[in-house]
Amino acid sequence: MKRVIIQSLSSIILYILMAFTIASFASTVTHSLAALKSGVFVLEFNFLPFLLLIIFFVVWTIYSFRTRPNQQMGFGQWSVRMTEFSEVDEREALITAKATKAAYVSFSISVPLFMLTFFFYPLFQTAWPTYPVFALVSTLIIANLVYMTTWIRAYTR
Amino acid sequence: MPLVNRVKELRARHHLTQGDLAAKVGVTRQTIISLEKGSYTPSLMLAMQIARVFEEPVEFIFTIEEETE
Repeated sequence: MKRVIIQSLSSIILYILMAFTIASFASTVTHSLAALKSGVFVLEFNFLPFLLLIIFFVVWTIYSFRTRPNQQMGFGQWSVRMTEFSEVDEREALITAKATKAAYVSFSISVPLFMLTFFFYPLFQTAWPTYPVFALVSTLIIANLVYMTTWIRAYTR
Repeated sequence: MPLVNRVKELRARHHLTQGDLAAKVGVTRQTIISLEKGSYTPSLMLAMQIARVFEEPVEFIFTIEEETE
């Protein structure tokens, strides 16, 4: 259970850092293009989210690889698998299937809801141009939280 | 129709801890705990492995509640 919690929360942190990195990059491109139109070349990039993302990713990779359930598994094989899945025995496999189903259902609710918010996007596009990035990340975070809570509830039953 | 089992009783009779039984049948201790609480219905394979450990027929260990009434 500890593994599922740690891995789910790590994924959420990674998604948030990714969103801020992409938003920062998008903002840089927008400002640079605007400046270029007036004949000035400006390239200012907020490096902090990217740096945090890299540091967290490296720490998370080392920790996750060292604590992988199947110690015989090589890095190549391990790196293409979802680390949130814990299927040590048949009960855990069943719980994981149940939690994955719940996360899938959450997508079918959260994605249309966030799509509806795009009706109003033109109204706040100037104030929050990177909203689509955060909306997309929010659906992933919701799915992760649903997966984690369903897993914990089923495991402790 | 819930499945009732005698795992706890047989485990005590065989002087096995939950961890011992879990290791013998290749599952986690948490699975044995859930099994004994009756909140988890094992697969046929796991039920047969448990039956093998206790040297009892599967139907002696696992019964559908309706049958026992």
